[in-house]
Amino acid sequence: MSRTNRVLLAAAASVTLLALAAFAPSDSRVRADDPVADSMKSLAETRASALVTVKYVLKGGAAGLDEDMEMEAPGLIVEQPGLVLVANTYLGGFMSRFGGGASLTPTDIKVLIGDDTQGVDAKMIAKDGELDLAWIQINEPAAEGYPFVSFADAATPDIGDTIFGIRRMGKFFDRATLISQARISGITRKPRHIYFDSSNSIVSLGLPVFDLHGKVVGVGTMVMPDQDEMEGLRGIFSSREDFQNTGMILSAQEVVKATARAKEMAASGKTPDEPAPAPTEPKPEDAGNMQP
Amino acid sequence: MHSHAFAVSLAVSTLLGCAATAPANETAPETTPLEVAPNHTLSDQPTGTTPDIRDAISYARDKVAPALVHIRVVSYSYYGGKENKSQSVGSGTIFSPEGYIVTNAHVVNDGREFKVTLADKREIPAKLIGEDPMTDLAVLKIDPNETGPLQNASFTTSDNLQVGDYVLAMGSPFALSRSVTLGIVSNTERVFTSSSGDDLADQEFDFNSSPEVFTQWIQHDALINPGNSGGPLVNMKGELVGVNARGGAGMSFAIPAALARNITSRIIKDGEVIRSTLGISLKSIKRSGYDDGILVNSVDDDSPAAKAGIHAGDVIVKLNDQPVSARFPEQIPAVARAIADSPVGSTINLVVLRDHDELSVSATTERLLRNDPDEAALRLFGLSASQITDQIVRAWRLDSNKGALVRGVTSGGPAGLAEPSLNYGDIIRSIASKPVDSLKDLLDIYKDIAKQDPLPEYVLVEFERRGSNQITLLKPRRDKPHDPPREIPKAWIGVATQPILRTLAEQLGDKDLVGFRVTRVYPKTDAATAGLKVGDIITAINGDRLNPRGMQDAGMFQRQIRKLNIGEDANLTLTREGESIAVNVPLERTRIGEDEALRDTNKDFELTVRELTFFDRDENRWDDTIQGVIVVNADNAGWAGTAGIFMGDLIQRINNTEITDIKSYRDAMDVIAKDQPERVTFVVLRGQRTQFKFAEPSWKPKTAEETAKEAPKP
Repeated sequence: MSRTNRVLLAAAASVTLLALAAFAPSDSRVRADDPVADSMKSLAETRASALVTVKYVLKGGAAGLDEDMEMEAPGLIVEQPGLVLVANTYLGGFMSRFGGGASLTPTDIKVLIGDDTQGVDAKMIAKDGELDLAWIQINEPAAEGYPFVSFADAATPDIGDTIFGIRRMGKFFDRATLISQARISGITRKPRHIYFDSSNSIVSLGLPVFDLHGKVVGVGTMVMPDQDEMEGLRGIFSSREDFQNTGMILSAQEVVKATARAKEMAASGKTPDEPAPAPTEPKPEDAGNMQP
Repeated sequence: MHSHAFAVSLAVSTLLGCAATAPANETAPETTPLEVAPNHTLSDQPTGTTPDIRDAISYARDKVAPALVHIRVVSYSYYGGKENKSQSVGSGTIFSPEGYIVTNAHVVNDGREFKVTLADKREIPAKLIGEDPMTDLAVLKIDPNETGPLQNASFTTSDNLQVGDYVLAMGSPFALSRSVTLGIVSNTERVFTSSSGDDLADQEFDFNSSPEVFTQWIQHDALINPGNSGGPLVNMKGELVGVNARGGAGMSFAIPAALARNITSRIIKDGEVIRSTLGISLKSIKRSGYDDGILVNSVDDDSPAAKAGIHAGDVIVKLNDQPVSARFPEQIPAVARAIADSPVGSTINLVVLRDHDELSVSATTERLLRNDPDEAALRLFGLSASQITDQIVRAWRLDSNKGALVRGVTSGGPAGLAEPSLNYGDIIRSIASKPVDSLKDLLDIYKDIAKQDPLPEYVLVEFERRGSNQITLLKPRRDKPHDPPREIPKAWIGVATQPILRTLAEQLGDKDLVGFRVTRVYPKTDAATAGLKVGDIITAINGDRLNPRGMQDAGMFQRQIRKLNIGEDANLTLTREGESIAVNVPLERTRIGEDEALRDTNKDFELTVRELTFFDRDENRWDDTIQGVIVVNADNAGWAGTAGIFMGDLIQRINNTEITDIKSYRDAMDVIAKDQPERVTFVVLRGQRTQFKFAEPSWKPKTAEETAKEAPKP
C-alpha cells in the first residue's frame, strides 16, 4: 500500500472512529478527554447542595398601595452557619429602583434546602442596592452546618475562558440541578469588577458562576446606572443590549468585600443612624381594630 | 359591591334609548307615575318677569333650604380578601319632623357610617333605616332629641307637574353643599330602554340591580352634578316634586314624588320594600307577531310561575281578570308593578296564550329575594366571606344556603398560601372541625381563634369547590409591623456634583478641568467642615484621575468614593478659581434613603408614616429643630384621611405629645389605641405652615348586620 493510501486509510479510520464515538451507546458518563463534562458533573455533585430556594412575602408598595405578594427566589449559601446570598432585585430592589418611591419589604422569609418543602425561618440582615446583593441569615444553625460555596479561593478568568452557571429548575421539575456552559465574553472594572457573558445563557441573578476548575468566578448581578446616569443613556439602543441581553457576573472579590460589610453591619446590631427599637407585638385582634 | 370615589355618587348615565310613554291604561295604585293634569293653573308658576322669577325662586328655596342636608358616607367594600373603605357625598331632604331623610340608594350603598350636615352647618351622625335599589331610594334618620326641632320639606300631593314648569335642583354638586340650580321640566314620564329599543333596560329582578322597571322619571334641565344625588327637585311652591338621581349631557332625572312618598313610607314601616315575585321576566310583544298581551321571556326554576305551569314564550293577556298588554317596552313597568305590589303569598290568576291557545293558570307569589349578603374580612386568615343568601343559592345552583361563601383572598395571605389555597367561590363548611352553617358561625369561630395567644399554628378548613369537598390548612398570621431592610453603609462625601466633560472644560478655559464640579455642599457634614465650596472642580481622588466621558458617568465620583472605607480620608485634587489645591475630607457613611427609612402603618387610622431622612431635611431646608414623621399614605376614607391629613405632611404633634421620631410616634399611637378618645388632634407641617387636623375615630365599627339591628323602629 502506498504511503498516501496508508495516510488516507488512517484518516478515514479516524473519522469513522470519531463518528462512531459520537453515536456511541450511553456509557459515555466519564470521559478523560472531556474536562467540560467532568467539571459540569463535579459542580452538580458538589456545589448544588448549596443552592436554596428562598420563599417570602413581599409587603408594601407605592403610596396608596398595600399589596402582599408571595414570592420565591433562588439563593446561595455562602457560609456554613447559614448566610444566604440572594439578588436584591428579587427582594424588592427592582421596585425600589424603578417603582417611583415604592418601598418593599420581604417578610415571613423561609429558606428551603434540598428536598425540604416547609423551609427554615430566616431574616434579611442587609442589602446592597448598588451591587444588587442581599443577605439572609437562617435563624437556626444546623448541627453540622449548612452546605455552602466558599468564595475564599476565587478565580480571575480571562476573556475566552470557559465558565459554568448553576441553578435549579422549578418545583414542578423537582428542583433539578441545571449546569450551563459559556465563555467569558468581556471584562470591565467600571463601575465595578464585572465579567460578561454575551450569550446570556448561564447567568442567574444571585447565583454563582464557576470556572473549569470549580472555582467561583462571581455571581449573577444587575448593576444599573442611577437616575443621573440614565440620562446619559437615553435613546442609546446598545445600552438596551447591555442590560437585557448580556449576562453580568459580579466578581467574587467584590462579593467578598460586600459580604464582609454586611456581616459587620449585622454584627454591630445597628447602623450609625440608630434605628428605632423593634416595635412591640400587635394588640389582640379585637382591641381598637376595625375588623373582627 | 361598589366602591365610591370621593364626591362621585351621582351616576352619569348614558342614555340607551328614550321614548315617551304610552298613556297609562289601568287605575293607579300608589306607585302609578304622575299623570298629566288637565287643569294646571298658571298661577303656580311665575309669569316670566325678572322680579317675579326671583321672588318665586326665593320663596321655593326658602321653604326647602332648612330641610336640605349634605350627606357624607363612609362605605365598606371587599376586594382581594380585604376590607376597603371609601368616602362619598350626596344630598338629601328631611321630609318629616321625626328626622327622616330621603336620598338615593346609590348614595348610601355599602355605607356603614353616615354624617349629615344641617342647614345650620352642624354635622351629626345619621342611621340608615333602609334602601330600595329597585327605585334608587333610601331613608336615613337623625334624632331630633340631639338636633332640636327640625324643619322639614313636604312631598307634593299634586299630580299636575307639567312640561315647562320651573323647578329648582338643590344639593351638593362636587361636594359644594347647599347649591341651587334652576331649570324647567322637560318630560314627566321618561323611561330608559335597551339599545335595540325592545327591552326595558335590565329586566333582572335582582335586588341589587336597579332596573328602574317601576320608575317613570321626571326629566328636567336644572343642572345637576355628582353630589346632587338624593337632593330635592322643588317646584315654585316649595314642594318636593322629585328626588334627583342621575344626569348628564345637560339632562337631569328625578324620581317622582308620588313614588318617593310611597317607597319611603314602606321603608320606614318595614325597613325595606317587600315585593312579590312570580319568578318571570317580561318582554313586550313588539315584533313577536302577537297583537296583545305581554311575553314571558323566562321562567326561573322552581319559581311560582314554574310551579303554576307557566312556560317561557307564554303571552299573558289577563292578570286577575284585568287585560294586560305591553306592545312597547314603556308599558312593562305597570305590569311589573302590579305583580310586585301584590301581597306576598297571594294568588294571581293569569290567562296566557300558548301557541295561540288560551289557558288559565293560578300562581301564588313568593317574596322577591334580597341579594345584599353581609360580608366580613377575616384578617388573620387573609380572606373575606359572605352569607349565602337564597338568591345566591338559586343563581349558583347550590344545595342549600349553609356555609360561608369566600368572596376574596388576600394575595400572600394565609388563605392564598395554603396548599390547596382557598379561592373566590369556595364555600366554607367547617373551621377547626366546627361546622360553619352561616357567616355568623364563621365569625364566632374566627373570633375565638383570634383571641388565642399565640395563634394556633394551623387551622383545618373544610370547604366545597364546584361540588367537591376538600380540606386544607391555614396558618393564621397577625400583621406585624415591619421595617424595610437597611443598605450596607458605604463611604460618602457630603457634596452633590455634576460631571465636567471635555467640551465644557475647554469652554471654561482649561481642557484639564475634566472632573466633577461641586454643585452643593451639604451643611453640617465633614465636606463642609473641610472647606469644600460650590464651584470647586474635583479632578482626582487619592491621585486617581477622574475622567467622565458623558452623562453616563455622572455617578462616577460617588461610586469611586463608595469603594473607599468609612472613616478614612479622601485626598481630593481640585481646582478652585484657577488654582489647583488638595483637600483632605474624612469619609462619612452614606445617608439613609427614603426607601430604607423606618416606617409604621397604623391600620386603625389607615395611616403610614416614615422617619425623616437627611435628604428630607435638605430638600425642605429643615434644620434640626424640625422633628416629626412624614406621612407616606393616608387613606382618604380612613380616620386620618377624613381629618384632612395628606401624603407629605410632617406630623409634629399628636394631642399633647411632641413627635420626634418613629418611636415617639408609635408610643403616642399606642396610647391612643388604648384610650380610644373621641377626638385626636394632629399638628402637621405642610410646606412652611402648621395645620391642625382633627380626627374623630369611630372605634369598633359594627358590621352591617349589627347596624341594621340597631336601626330605630317607627
